[in-house]
Amino acid sequence: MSDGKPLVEMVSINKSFGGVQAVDDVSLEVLPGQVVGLLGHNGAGKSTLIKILAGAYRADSGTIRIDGQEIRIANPNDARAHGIETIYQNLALADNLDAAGNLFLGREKRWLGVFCDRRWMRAETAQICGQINPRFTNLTAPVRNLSGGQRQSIAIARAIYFNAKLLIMDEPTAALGPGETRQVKELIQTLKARGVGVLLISHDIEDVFEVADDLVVMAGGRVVGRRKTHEVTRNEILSLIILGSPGDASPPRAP
Amino acid sequence: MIQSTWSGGGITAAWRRLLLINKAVLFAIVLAIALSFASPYFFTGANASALLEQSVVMVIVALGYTLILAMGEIDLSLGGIIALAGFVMAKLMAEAGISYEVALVAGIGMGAVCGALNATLVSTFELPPFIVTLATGALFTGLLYIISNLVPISDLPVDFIAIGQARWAGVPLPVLIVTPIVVGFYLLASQSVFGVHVIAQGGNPEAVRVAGINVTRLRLKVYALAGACYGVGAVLLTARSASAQIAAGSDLLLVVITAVVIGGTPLLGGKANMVGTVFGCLIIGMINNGLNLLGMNANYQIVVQGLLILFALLIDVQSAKLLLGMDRRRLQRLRREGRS
Repeated sequence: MSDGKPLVEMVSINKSFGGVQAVDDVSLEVLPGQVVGLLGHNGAGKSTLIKILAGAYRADSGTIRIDGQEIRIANPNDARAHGIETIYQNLALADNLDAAGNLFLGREKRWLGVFCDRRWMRAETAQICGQINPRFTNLTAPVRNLSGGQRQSIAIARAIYFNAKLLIMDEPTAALGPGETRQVKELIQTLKARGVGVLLISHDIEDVFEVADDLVVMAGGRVVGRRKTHEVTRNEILSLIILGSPGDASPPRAP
Repeated sequence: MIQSTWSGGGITAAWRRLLLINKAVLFAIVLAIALSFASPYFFTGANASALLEQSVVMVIVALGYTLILAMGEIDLSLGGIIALAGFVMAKLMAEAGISYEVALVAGIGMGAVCGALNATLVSTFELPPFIVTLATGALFTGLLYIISNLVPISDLPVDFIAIGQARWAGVPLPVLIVTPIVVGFYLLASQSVFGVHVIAQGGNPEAVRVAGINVTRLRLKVYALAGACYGVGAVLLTARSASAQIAAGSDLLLVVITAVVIGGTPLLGGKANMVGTVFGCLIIGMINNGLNLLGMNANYQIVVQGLLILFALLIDVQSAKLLLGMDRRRLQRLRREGRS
Protein backbone atom coordinates (compact mmCIF):
# COMPACT_ATOMS: atom_id res chain seq x y z
CA MET A 1 0.00 0.00 0.00
CA SER A 2 2.74 2.41 0.92
CA ASP A 3 5.25 0.91 -1.49
CA GLY A 4 4.62 3.13 -4.49
CA LYS A 5 4.87 6.78 -5.21
CA PRO A 6 1.78 8.93 -4.74
CA LEU A 7 -0.86 8.47 -7.40
CA VAL A 8 -2.21 11.95 -7.00
CA GLU A 9 -0.59 14.90 -5.28
CA MET A 10 -2.29 18.22 -4.76
CA VAL A 11 0.22 20.82 -3.58
CA SER A 12 -0.59 24.20 -2.04
CA ILE A 13 -4.01 24.51 -3.62
CA ASN A 14 -5.81 27.82 -3.12
CA LYS A 15 -9.29 28.82 -4.17
CA SER A 16 -11.38 31.76 -3.11
CA PHE A 17 -14.87 32.88 -4.04
CA GLY A 18 -15.07 36.65 -3.79
CA GLY A 19 -13.51 37.39 -0.42
CA VAL A 20 -13.99 33.92 1.00
CA GLN A 21 -10.96 31.65 1.04
CA ALA A 22 -12.69 28.32 0.46
CA VAL A 23 -9.48 26.30 0.11
CA ASP A 24 -6.41 27.68 1.83
CA ASP A 25 -3.01 26.23 0.93
CA VAL A 26 -4.13 22.62 0.96
CA SER A 27 -1.88 19.70 0.07
CA LEU A 28 -3.16 16.16 -0.24
CA GLU A 29 -1.76 12.84 -1.46
CA VAL A 30 -3.40 9.59 -2.41
CA LEU A 31 -1.37 6.42 -3.05
CA PRO A 32 -2.42 3.72 -5.50
CA GLY A 33 -4.92 1.39 -3.86
CA GLN A 34 -5.34 3.71 -0.93
CA VAL A 35 -8.69 4.87 0.39
CA VAL A 36 -8.50 8.34 1.85
CA GLY A 37 -11.46 9.66 3.81
CA LEU A 38 -11.96 13.41 3.65
CA LEU A 39 -13.89 14.69 6.64
CA GLY A 40 -15.11 18.07 7.81
CA HIS A 41 -18.11 20.24 8.45
CA ASN A 42 -20.20 21.81 5.75
CA GLY A 43 -18.17 24.72 4.43
CA ALA A 44 -14.88 23.17 5.55
CA GLY A 45 -13.73 23.26 1.94
CA LYS A 46 -13.80 19.54 1.11
CA SER A 47 -16.35 19.92 -1.68
CA THR A 48 -14.42 22.76 -3.27
CA LEU A 49 -11.20 20.77 -3.05
CA ILE A 50 -12.59 17.73 -4.82
CA LYS A 51 -14.31 19.86 -7.44
CA ILE A 52 -10.92 21.33 -8.29
CA LEU A 53 -9.52 17.83 -8.72
CA ALA A 54 -12.57 16.81 -10.77
CA GLY A 55 -12.29 19.83 -13.04
CA ALA A 56 -15.56 21.45 -12.01
CA TYR A 57 -13.66 24.43 -10.52
CA ARG A 58 -10.24 25.83 -11.37
CA ALA A 59 -7.77 26.46 -8.57
CA ASP A 60 -6.44 30.00 -8.13
CA SER A 61 -2.99 28.58 -7.48
CA GLY A 62 -1.24 25.33 -6.66
CA THR A 63 -0.10 22.26 -8.57
CA ILE A 64 -1.63 18.87 -9.23
CA ARG A 65 0.54 15.89 -10.10
CA ILE A 66 -0.52 12.47 -11.30
CA ASP A 67 2.06 9.69 -11.21
CA GLY A 68 4.61 12.37 -10.49
CA GLN A 69 3.78 14.38 -13.56
CA GLU A 70 2.34 17.87 -13.28
CA ILE A 71 -0.98 18.26 -15.04
CA ARG A 72 -3.45 21.03 -15.73
CA ILE A 73 -7.13 20.42 -15.04
CA ALA A 74 -9.29 23.08 -16.64
CA ASN A 75 -12.52 21.13 -17.09
CA PRO A 76 -14.10 17.75 -16.35
CA ASN A 77 -12.74 16.31 -19.59
CA ASP A 78 -9.15 17.06 -18.55
CA ALA A 79 -9.71 15.29 -15.26
CA ARG A 80 -11.20 12.26 -16.94
CA ALA A 81 -8.44 12.15 -19.52
CA HIS A 82 -6.01 11.77 -16.61
CA GLY A 83 -8.02 8.96 -15.06
CA ILE A 84 -9.82 10.97 -12.40
CA GLU A 85 -13.47 9.95 -12.21
CA THR A 86 -16.02 11.48 -9.88
CA ILE A 87 -19.23 10.18 -8.43
CA TYR A 88 -21.23 13.13 -7.21
CA GLN A 89 -23.55 13.05 -4.25
CA ASN A 90 -26.58 13.38 -6.51
CA LEU A 91 -24.88 10.87 -8.87
CA ALA A 92 -25.27 13.35 -11.77
CA LEU A 93 -27.37 10.92 -13.78
CA ALA A 94 -29.76 12.04 -16.48
CA ASP A 95 -32.92 10.42 -15.12
CA ASN A 96 -34.60 10.23 -18.51
CA LEU A 97 -31.82 8.18 -20.14
CA ASP A 98 -31.24 4.45 -19.70
CA ALA A 99 -28.21 2.92 -17.99
CA ALA A 100 -26.14 2.81 -21.17
CA GLY A 101 -27.00 6.41 -22.04
CA ASN A 102 -25.71 7.49 -18.65
CA LEU A 103 -22.67 5.23 -18.57
CA PHE A 104 -21.45 6.61 -21.89
CA LEU A 105 -22.78 10.17 -21.60
CA GLY A 106 -20.26 12.43 -23.30
CA ARG A 107 -18.18 9.43 -24.45
CA GLU A 108 -20.66 7.65 -26.71
CA LYS A 109 -19.52 5.01 -29.13
CA ARG A 110 -20.30 6.45 -32.57
CA TRP A 111 -20.80 5.01 -36.00
CA LEU A 112 -20.59 7.15 -39.14
CA GLY A 113 -19.39 9.90 -36.82
CA VAL A 114 -22.84 11.02 -35.69
CA PHE A 115 -24.95 8.06 -34.67
CA CYS A 116 -25.02 6.28 -31.32
CA ASP A 117 -24.08 2.63 -31.41
CA ARG A 118 -26.82 1.70 -28.93
CA ARG A 119 -26.51 -2.04 -29.30
CA TRP A 120 -22.80 -2.04 -28.54
CA MET A 121 -23.23 0.37 -25.64
CA ARG A 122 -26.01 -1.74 -24.11
CA ALA A 123 -23.94 -4.91 -24.40
CA GLU A 124 -20.97 -3.25 -22.69
CA THR A 125 -23.27 -1.84 -20.00
CA ALA A 126 -24.83 -5.25 -19.35
CA GLN A 127 -21.39 -6.72 -18.88
CA ILE A 128 -19.92 -4.10 -16.57
CA CYS A 129 -23.08 -3.61 -14.51
CA GLY A 130 -23.41 -7.38 -14.22
CA GLN A 131 -19.95 -7.52 -12.67
CA ILE A 132 -20.78 -4.83 -10.17
CA ASN A 133 -24.28 -5.84 -9.29
CA PRO A 134 -25.48 -9.24 -10.55
CA ARG A 135 -29.10 -8.34 -9.87
CA PHE A 136 -28.87 -5.39 -12.24
CA THR A 137 -30.87 -6.43 -15.28
CA ASN A 138 -33.11 -3.49 -16.10
CA LEU A 139 -30.96 -1.95 -18.80
CA THR A 140 -33.55 -0.32 -21.03
CA ALA A 141 -35.64 1.60 -18.48
CA PRO A 142 -34.92 5.25 -17.78
CA VAL A 143 -32.74 5.33 -14.67
CA ARG A 144 -35.40 7.25 -12.74
CA ASN A 145 -37.18 3.92 -12.42
CA LEU A 146 -34.19 2.24 -10.78
CA SER A 147 -33.42 1.78 -7.09
CA GLY A 148 -30.79 3.87 -5.30
CA GLY A 149 -28.33 0.97 -5.33
CA GLN A 150 -28.75 0.39 -9.05
CA ARG A 151 -28.26 4.07 -9.77
CA GLN A 152 -25.11 3.98 -7.66
CA SER A 153 -23.98 0.94 -9.64
CA ILE A 154 -24.21 2.92 -12.88
CA ALA A 155 -22.15 5.75 -11.44
CA ILE A 156 -19.51 3.30 -10.21
CA ALA A 157 -19.60 1.36 -13.47
CA ARG A 158 -18.80 4.60 -15.26
CA ALA A 159 -15.64 4.95 -13.21
CA ILE A 160 -14.52 1.34 -13.56
CA TYR A 161 -15.31 1.06 -17.25
CA PHE A 162 -13.16 4.03 -18.17
CA ASN A 163 -10.20 2.76 -16.11
CA ALA A 164 -10.15 5.33 -13.37
CA LYS A 165 -6.87 5.72 -11.50
CA LEU A 166 -8.51 7.81 -8.84
CA LEU A 167 -12.15 7.71 -7.92
CA ILE A 168 -13.66 10.62 -6.03
CA MET A 169 -16.82 9.68 -4.17
CA ASP A 170 -18.89 12.48 -2.72
CA GLU A 171 -21.19 11.15 0.01
CA PRO A 172 -21.64 7.81 -1.79
CA THR A 173 -23.93 6.31 0.84
CA ALA A 174 -26.06 9.35 1.63
CA ALA A 175 -29.15 8.14 -0.22
CA LEU A 176 -28.77 4.41 0.30
CA GLY A 177 -30.30 1.78 2.55
CA PRO A 178 -28.12 -0.47 4.75
CA GLY A 179 -27.87 -3.29 2.20
CA GLU A 180 -26.88 -0.96 -0.58
CA THR A 181 -24.39 0.82 1.67
CA ARG A 182 -22.71 -2.54 2.30
CA GLN A 183 -22.54 -3.10 -1.46
CA VAL A 184 -20.80 0.22 -1.98
CA LYS A 185 -18.27 -0.63 0.73
CA GLU A 186 -17.55 -3.95 -1.00
CA LEU A 187 -17.08 -2.08 -4.26
CA ILE A 188 -14.58 0.24 -2.65
CA GLN A 189 -12.63 -2.83 -1.51
CA THR A 190 -12.72 -4.19 -5.07
CA LEU A 191 -11.41 -0.91 -6.48
CA LYS A 192 -8.69 -0.83 -3.82
CA ALA A 193 -7.60 -4.32 -4.78
CA ARG A 194 -7.29 -3.17 -8.39
CA GLY A 195 -4.93 -0.39 -7.32
CA VAL A 196 -7.43 2.41 -7.78
CA GLY A 197 -7.05 5.28 -5.35
CA VAL A 198 -10.28 6.37 -3.69
CA LEU A 199 -11.00 9.76 -2.21
CA LEU A 200 -14.07 9.44 -0.05
CA ILE A 201 -16.01 12.43 1.19
CA SER A 202 -18.53 11.77 3.90
CA HIS A 203 -20.35 13.20 6.86
CA ASP A 204 -20.72 9.78 8.36
CA ILE A 205 -17.62 9.05 10.42
CA GLU A 206 -18.58 5.41 10.94
CA ASP A 207 -18.72 4.76 7.20
CA VAL A 208 -15.35 6.33 6.65
CA PHE A 209 -13.70 4.56 9.59
CA GLU A 210 -14.80 1.26 8.16
CA VAL A 211 -13.27 1.62 4.69
CA ALA A 212 -10.61 4.33 4.74
CA ASP A 213 -6.88 3.73 5.25
CA ASP A 214 -6.16 7.37 6.03
CA LEU A 215 -8.34 10.15 7.34
CA VAL A 216 -7.86 13.76 6.37
CA VAL A 217 -9.77 16.40 8.28
CA MET A 218 -10.49 19.84 6.88
CA ALA A 219 -11.74 22.90 8.77
CA GLY A 220 -11.98 26.49 7.61
CA GLY A 221 -10.49 25.68 4.23
CA ARG A 222 -7.31 24.08 5.64
CA VAL A 223 -6.18 20.55 6.34
CA VAL A 224 -6.03 20.31 10.14
CA GLY A 225 -4.84 16.74 10.36
CA ARG A 226 -4.08 13.46 8.60
CA ARG A 227 -4.14 10.21 10.56
CA LYS A 228 -3.94 6.48 9.92
CA THR A 229 -7.37 5.04 10.57
CA HIS A 230 -6.09 2.25 12.77
CA GLU A 231 -4.03 4.61 14.91
CA VAL A 232 -6.67 7.17 15.71
CA THR A 233 -9.73 7.34 17.93
CA ARG A 234 -13.14 8.65 16.91
CA ASN A 235 -12.86 11.30 19.59
CA GLU A 236 -9.63 12.64 18.18
CA ILE A 237 -11.15 12.89 14.72
CA LEU A 238 -14.28 14.50 16.14
CA SER A 239 -12.28 17.13 17.95
CA LEU A 240 -10.32 17.81 14.76
CA ILE A 241 -13.59 18.30 12.92
CA ILE A 242 -15.22 20.40 15.59
CA LEU A 243 -12.30 22.33 17.11
CA GLY A 244 -9.94 22.26 14.16
CA SER A 245 -7.21 20.88 16.45
CA PRO A 246 -6.46 17.56 18.12
CA GLY A 247 -7.25 19.32 21.44
CA ASP A 248 -9.00 17.40 24.12
CA ALA A 249 -12.73 17.32 23.61
CA SER A 250 -12.99 14.07 25.50
CA PRO A 251 -11.85 12.40 28.68
CA PRO A 252 -8.29 11.00 28.39
CA ARG A 253 -7.97 7.44 27.23
CA ALA A 254 -5.44 4.74 27.70
CA PRO A 255 -3.34 4.27 24.54
CA MET B 1 -63.12 9.35 -23.56
CA ILE B 2 -59.76 8.45 -24.97
CA GLN B 3 -58.50 7.03 -21.71
CA SER B 4 -61.28 4.50 -21.64
CA THR B 5 -60.04 3.06 -24.94
CA TRP B 6 -56.54 2.75 -23.47
CA SER B 7 -57.64 0.86 -20.43
CA GLY B 8 -60.07 -1.27 -22.43
CA GLY B 9 -59.59 -4.99 -21.94
CA GLY B 10 -57.88 -7.15 -24.52
CA ILE B 11 -55.12 -4.72 -25.40
CA THR B 12 -51.80 -5.95 -24.15
CA ALA B 13 -49.54 -3.80 -22.01
CA ALA B 14 -47.09 -3.39 -24.88
CA TRP B 15 -49.80 -2.01 -27.13
CA ARG B 16 -51.05 0.28 -24.42
CA ARG B 17 -47.52 1.54 -23.91
CA LEU B 18 -47.09 2.12 -27.64
CA LEU B 19 -50.32 4.09 -27.79
CA LEU B 20 -49.43 6.13 -24.72
CA ILE B 21 -46.08 7.09 -26.18
CA ASN B 22 -47.57 7.82 -29.61
CA LYS B 23 -50.83 9.25 -28.35
CA ALA B 24 -50.73 11.95 -31.04
CA VAL B 25 -50.97 9.26 -33.73
CA LEU B 26 -53.97 7.74 -32.02
CA PHE B 27 -55.58 11.11 -31.50
CA ALA B 28 -55.00 12.04 -35.16
CA ILE B 29 -56.66 8.83 -36.36
CA VAL B 30 -59.65 9.33 -34.07
CA LEU B 31 -59.98 12.92 -35.23
CA ALA B 32 -59.74 11.96 -38.91
CA ILE B 33 -62.47 9.36 -38.50
CA ALA B 34 -64.70 11.79 -36.59
CA LEU B 35 -64.24 14.52 -39.21
CA SER B 36 -64.91 12.07 -42.05
CA PHE B 37 -68.30 11.39 -40.49
CA ALA B 38 -68.97 15.06 -39.74
CA SER B 39 -68.21 16.38 -43.21
CA PRO B 40 -68.46 14.62 -46.60
CA TYR B 41 -65.70 16.88 -47.93
CA PHE B 42 -63.06 15.92 -45.36
CA PHE B 43 -61.99 12.53 -46.66
CA THR B 44 -61.22 13.56 -50.24
CA GLY B 45 -57.93 13.71 -52.13
CA ALA B 46 -58.23 17.43 -52.71
CA ASN B 47 -58.81 18.16 -49.05
CA ALA B 48 -56.01 15.84 -47.91
CA SER B 49 -53.65 17.61 -50.27
CA ALA B 50 -54.80 21.02 -49.02
CA LEU B 51 -54.42 19.89 -45.41
CA LEU B 52 -50.83 18.76 -45.99
CA GLU B 53 -50.03 21.96 -47.83
CA GLN B 54 -51.42 24.06 -44.98
CA SER B 55 -49.54 22.06 -42.37
CA VAL B 56 -46.17 22.03 -44.08
CA VAL B 57 -44.81 25.31 -42.67
CA MET B 58 -46.00 24.35 -39.19
CA VAL B 59 -44.30 20.94 -39.49
CA ILE B 60 -40.91 22.26 -40.51
CA VAL B 61 -40.89 24.95 -37.83
CA ALA B 62 -42.15 22.50 -35.20
CA LEU B 63 -39.39 19.98 -35.99
CA GLY B 64 -36.75 22.54 -35.10
CA TYR B 65 -38.76 23.70 -32.14
CA THR B 66 -38.94 20.14 -30.79
CA LEU B 67 -35.18 20.22 -30.22
CA ILE B 68 -35.45 23.45 -28.21
CA LEU B 69 -38.27 22.14 -26.02
CA ALA B 70 -36.50 18.76 -25.67
CA MET B 71 -33.42 20.43 -24.18
CA GLY B 72 -35.71 22.10 -21.64
CA GLU B 73 -35.64 25.58 -23.15
CA ILE B 74 -38.07 27.78 -25.04
CA ASP B 75 -37.90 30.24 -27.92
CA LEU B 76 -40.41 33.08 -28.00
CA SER B 77 -38.71 34.88 -30.89
CA LEU B 78 -39.98 32.41 -33.49
CA GLY B 79 -42.52 34.79 -35.08
CA GLY B 80 -40.01 37.64 -35.29
CA ILE B 81 -37.39 35.43 -36.93
CA ILE B 82 -39.80 34.06 -39.54
CA ALA B 83 -41.11 37.47 -40.55
CA LEU B 84 -37.62 38.98 -40.64
CA ALA B 85 -36.12 36.11 -42.66
CA GLY B 86 -39.03 36.23 -45.13
CA PHE B 87 -38.68 39.94 -45.55
CA VAL B 88 -34.91 39.94 -45.99
CA MET B 89 -35.33 37.27 -48.65
CA ALA B 90 -38.05 39.22 -50.48
CA LYS B 91 -36.09 42.45 -50.33
CA LEU B 92 -32.99 40.76 -51.78
CA MET B 93 -35.02 39.41 -54.70
CA ALA B 94 -37.37 42.30 -55.39
CA GLU B 95 -35.12 45.27 -54.70
CA ALA B 96 -31.52 44.10 -54.92
CA GLY B 97 -32.26 41.86 -57.90
CA ILE B 98 -30.44 38.90 -56.41
CA SER B 99 -31.29 35.48 -57.85
CA TYR B 100 -33.89 33.54 -55.91
CA GLU B 101 -31.53 30.66 -55.12
CA VAL B 102 -29.11 32.98 -53.33
CA ALA B 103 -31.93 34.85 -51.58
CA LEU B 104 -33.35 31.57 -50.40
CA VAL B 105 -30.06 30.50 -48.83
CA ALA B 106 -29.71 33.98 -47.30
CA GLY B 107 -33.17 33.72 -45.74
CA ILE B 108 -32.46 30.32 -44.22
CA GLY B 109 -29.05 31.58 -43.08
CA MET B 110 -30.71 34.61 -41.52
CA GLY B 111 -32.90 32.29 -39.44
CA ALA B 112 -29.85 30.30 -38.31
CA VAL B 113 -27.98 33.49 -37.38
CA CYS B 114 -30.92 34.80 -35.32
CA GLY B 115 -31.08 31.42 -33.54
CA ALA B 116 -27.33 31.49 -32.93
CA LEU B 117 -27.68 34.97 -31.42
CA ASN B 118 -30.34 33.68 -29.01
CA ALA B 119 -28.15 30.75 -28.00
CA THR B 120 -25.11 32.95 -27.49
CA LEU B 121 -27.02 35.38 -25.30
CA VAL B 122 -28.46 32.56 -23.19
CA SER B 123 -25.05 30.90 -22.77
CA THR B 124 -22.94 34.01 -22.26
CA PHE B 125 -25.11 35.85 -19.78
CA GLU B 126 -26.67 32.74 -18.24
CA LEU B 127 -30.11 34.26 -18.67
CA PRO B 128 -33.29 32.19 -18.93
CA PRO B 129 -34.13 31.54 -22.61
CA PHE B 130 -37.62 32.78 -21.84
CA ILE B 131 -36.33 36.30 -21.12
CA VAL B 132 -33.69 36.38 -23.85
CA THR B 133 -36.02 35.30 -26.64
CA LEU B 134 -38.79 37.60 -25.43
CA ALA B 135 -36.33 40.47 -25.87
CA THR B 136 -34.78 39.31 -29.14
CA GLY B 137 -38.27 38.61 -30.53
CA ALA B 138 -39.06 42.29 -30.02
CA LEU B 139 -35.66 43.16 -31.50
CA PHE B 140 -36.23 41.11 -34.66
CA THR B 141 -39.73 42.50 -35.10
CA GLY B 142 -38.41 46.05 -34.60
CA LEU B 143 -35.72 45.47 -37.24
CA LEU B 144 -38.41 44.18 -39.58
CA TYR B 145 -40.49 47.33 -39.04
CA ILE B 146 -37.46 49.52 -39.78
CA ILE B 147 -36.38 47.79 -43.00
CA SER B 148 -39.93 47.26 -44.29
CA ASN B 149 -41.42 50.57 -43.25
CA LEU B 150 -44.50 48.40 -42.70
CA VAL B 151 -45.00 47.94 -46.45
CA PRO B 152 -45.25 44.34 -47.69
CA ILE B 153 -43.23 43.25 -50.75
CA SER B 154 -45.09 41.40 -53.45
CA ASP B 155 -43.27 41.57 -56.81
CA LEU B 156 -41.31 38.36 -56.34
CA PRO B 157 -39.72 36.27 -59.12
CA VAL B 158 -42.00 33.68 -60.69
CA ASP B 159 -39.50 30.89 -60.04
CA PHE B 160 -39.61 31.65 -56.35
CA ILE B 161 -43.41 31.71 -56.18
CA ALA B 162 -43.44 28.39 -58.02
CA ILE B 163 -41.90 26.75 -54.93
CA GLY B 164 -45.23 27.16 -53.20
CA GLN B 165 -47.35 26.04 -56.12
CA ALA B 166 -45.46 23.37 -58.06
CA ARG B 167 -46.61 19.79 -57.86
CA TRP B 168 -44.86 16.56 -58.65
CA ALA B 169 -47.08 13.58 -59.42
CA GLY B 170 -49.89 15.47 -57.75
CA VAL B 171 -47.95 16.04 -54.52
CA PRO B 172 -47.27 19.68 -53.61
CA LEU B 173 -43.55 20.51 -53.78
CA PRO B 174 -43.40 21.80 -50.16
CA VAL B 175 -44.60 18.40 -48.96
CA LEU B 176 -41.79 16.77 -50.96
CA ILE B 177 -39.28 19.19 -49.47
CA VAL B 178 -40.41 18.51 -45.92
CA THR B 179 -40.47 14.71 -46.12
CA PRO B 180 -36.68 14.15 -46.07
CA ILE B 181 -36.35 16.83 -43.38
CA VAL B 182 -38.79 14.89 -41.20
CA VAL B 183 -36.72 11.73 -41.67
CA GLY B 184 -33.54 13.69 -40.92
CA PHE B 185 -34.91 15.12 -37.68
CA TYR B 186 -36.26 11.75 -36.65
CA LEU B 187 -32.79 10.22 -37.03
CA LEU B 188 -31.18 13.21 -35.35
CA ALA B 189 -33.43 13.02 -32.30
CA SER B 190 -33.58 9.27 -31.83
CA GLN B 191 -30.30 7.90 -33.21
CA SER B 192 -27.60 10.55 -33.04
CA VAL B 193 -25.18 11.38 -30.25
CA PHE B 194 -26.31 14.99 -30.58
CA GLY B 195 -29.90 13.89 -29.91
CA VAL B 196 -28.85 12.01 -26.77
CA HIS B 197 -27.06 15.11 -25.49
CA VAL B 198 -30.07 17.34 -26.19
CA ILE B 199 -32.39 14.97 -24.33
CA ALA B 200 -29.91 14.54 -21.48
CA GLN B 201 -29.67 18.32 -21.14
CA GLY B 202 -33.46 18.44 -20.83
CA GLY B 203 -33.35 15.69 -18.20
CA ASN B 204 -30.49 16.91 -16.00
CA PRO B 205 -28.27 19.83 -17.12
CA GLU B 206 -25.90 19.13 -14.20
CA ALA B 207 -25.25 15.58 -15.46
CA VAL B 208 -24.45 16.94 -18.92
CA ARG B 209 -22.09 19.55 -17.52
CA VAL B 210 -20.10 17.16 -15.34
CA ALA B 211 -19.97 14.67 -18.23
CA GLY B 212 -17.78 17.26 -19.92
CA ILE B 213 -20.20 18.01 -22.76
CA ASN B 214 -19.82 21.54 -24.11
CA VAL B 215 -23.28 22.92 -23.39
CA THR B 216 -22.56 26.27 -25.06
CA ARG B 217 -21.81 24.52 -28.33
CA LEU B 218 -24.76 22.16 -27.92
CA ARG B 219 -27.16 25.08 -27.38
CA LEU B 220 -25.67 26.94 -30.35
CA LYS B 221 -26.29 23.95 -32.62
CA VAL B 222 -29.87 23.48 -31.37
CA TYR B 223 -30.92 27.13 -31.74
CA ALA B 224 -29.16 27.60 -35.08
CA LEU B 225 -30.76 24.43 -36.43
CA ALA B 226 -34.16 25.54 -35.20
CA GLY B 227 -33.50 28.99 -36.70
CA ALA B 228 -32.68 27.39 -40.05
CA CYS B 229 -36.00 25.54 -39.83
CA TYR B 230 -37.78 28.85 -39.24
CA GLY B 231 -35.90 30.12 -42.31
CA VAL B 232 -37.18 27.24 -44.45
CA GLY B 233 -40.64 27.94 -43.03
CA ALA B 234 -40.26 31.56 -44.07
CA VAL B 235 -39.32 30.49 -47.62
CA LEU B 236 -42.43 28.32 -47.96
CA LEU B 237 -44.68 30.91 -46.33
CA THR B 238 -43.41 33.72 -48.54
CA ALA B 239 -43.62 31.61 -51.68
CA ARG B 240 -47.14 30.43 -50.91
CA SER B 241 -48.51 33.91 -50.26
CA ALA B 242 -46.37 35.28 -53.14
CA SER B 243 -45.42 38.16 -50.86
CA ALA B 244 -43.50 39.03 -47.68
CA GLN B 245 -45.99 40.13 -45.05
CA ILE B 246 -45.20 42.03 -41.88
CA ALA B 247 -47.32 39.67 -39.79
CA ALA B 248 -46.04 36.46 -41.39
CA GLY B 249 -45.56 33.75 -38.79
CA SER B 250 -46.89 35.87 -35.92
CA ASP B 251 -49.59 33.29 -35.16
CA LEU B 252 -47.21 30.33 -35.36
CA LEU B 253 -45.62 30.40 -31.89
CA LEU B 254 -48.62 29.18 -29.93
CA VAL B 255 -49.64 26.71 -32.62
CA VAL B 256 -46.17 25.20 -32.84
CA ILE B 257 -45.76 24.81 -29.07
CA THR B 258 -49.18 23.15 -28.97
CA ALA B 259 -48.29 20.77 -31.78
CA VAL B 260 -44.96 19.78 -30.22
CA VAL B 261 -46.49 19.20 -26.78
CA ILE B 262 -49.45 17.24 -28.17
CA GLY B 263 -46.85 15.21 -30.04
CA GLY B 264 -45.37 14.03 -26.75
CA THR B 265 -42.35 16.27 -26.26
CA PRO B 266 -42.84 17.67 -22.75
CA LEU B 267 -42.85 21.42 -22.19
CA LEU B 268 -40.05 20.92 -19.65
CA GLY B 269 -37.87 18.85 -21.93
CA GLY B 270 -36.14 15.52 -21.55
CA LYS B 271 -37.79 13.83 -24.51
CA ALA B 272 -37.98 14.51 -28.24
CA ASN B 273 -40.72 12.85 -30.23
CA MET B 274 -40.36 13.97 -33.87
CA VAL B 275 -43.03 11.62 -35.23
CA GLY B 276 -45.35 12.93 -32.53
CA THR B 277 -44.55 16.48 -33.58
CA VAL B 278 -45.58 15.76 -37.18
CA PHE B 279 -48.84 14.23 -35.99
CA GLY B 280 -49.34 17.08 -33.54
CA CYS B 281 -49.17 19.47 -36.51
CA LEU B 282 -51.60 17.31 -38.47
CA ILE B 283 -54.01 17.35 -35.53
CA ILE B 284 -53.99 21.13 -35.41
CA GLY B 285 -54.22 21.28 -39.19
CA MET B 286 -57.20 18.91 -39.12
CA ILE B 287 -58.95 20.87 -36.41
CA ASN B 288 -58.62 24.13 -38.34
CA ASN B 289 -59.48 22.42 -41.60
CA GLY B 290 -62.44 20.61 -40.02
CA LEU B 291 -63.78 23.74 -38.36
CA ASN B 292 -63.56 25.50 -41.73
CA LEU B 293 -65.38 22.68 -43.47
CA LEU B 294 -68.06 22.76 -40.79
CA GLY B 295 -68.38 26.50 -41.30
CA MET B 296 -67.25 27.60 -37.85
CA ASN B 297 -66.41 31.23 -37.22
CA ALA B 298 -62.62 31.83 -37.36
CA ASN B 299 -62.67 33.54 -33.96
CA TYR B 300 -63.84 30.34 -32.31
CA GLN B 301 -60.94 28.46 -33.83
CA ILE B 302 -58.54 30.30 -31.55
CA VAL B 303 -60.64 29.35 -28.53
CA VAL B 304 -60.52 25.75 -29.69
CA GLN B 305 -56.74 25.99 -29.98
CA GLY B 306 -56.48 27.28 -26.42
CA LEU B 307 -58.66 24.45 -25.14
CA LEU B 308 -56.55 22.04 -27.13
CA ILE B 309 -53.36 23.15 -25.39
CA LEU B 310 -54.99 22.57 -22.01
CA PHE B 311 -56.24 19.20 -23.16
CA ALA B 312 -52.80 18.26 -24.51
CA LEU B 313 -51.11 19.19 -21.23
CA LEU B 314 -53.68 17.24 -19.27
CA ILE B 315 -53.21 14.16 -21.44
CA ASP B 316 -49.45 14.59 -21.20
CA VAL B 317 -49.47 14.57 -17.41
CA GLN B 318 -51.98 11.75 -17.18
CA SER B 319 -50.22 9.48 -19.64
CA ALA B 320 -46.86 10.11 -17.95
CA LYS B 321 -48.46 8.97 -14.69
CA LEU B 322 -49.95 5.92 -16.39
CA LEU B 323 -46.60 4.98 -17.93
CA LEU B 324 -44.84 5.39 -14.61
CA GLY B 325 -47.46 3.21 -12.97
CA MET B 326 -47.00 0.53 -15.63
CA ASP B 327 -43.24 0.60 -15.12
CA ARG B 328 -43.63 0.29 -11.34
CA ARG B 329 -46.01 -2.66 -11.65
CA ARG B 330 -43.65 -4.35 -14.10
CA LEU B 331 -40.67 -3.82 -11.78
CA GLN B 332 -42.60 -5.15 -8.82
CA ARG B 333 -43.64 -8.19 -10.80
CA LEU B 334 -40.06 -8.80 -11.93
CA ARG B 335 -38.85 -8.53 -8.34
CA ARG B 336 -41.50 -10.95 -7.10
CA GLU B 337 -40.60 -13.43 -9.81
CA GLY B 338 -36.91 -12.98 -9.14
CA ARG B 339 -37.36 -13.84 -5.47
CA SER B 340 -39.64 -16.81 -5.81
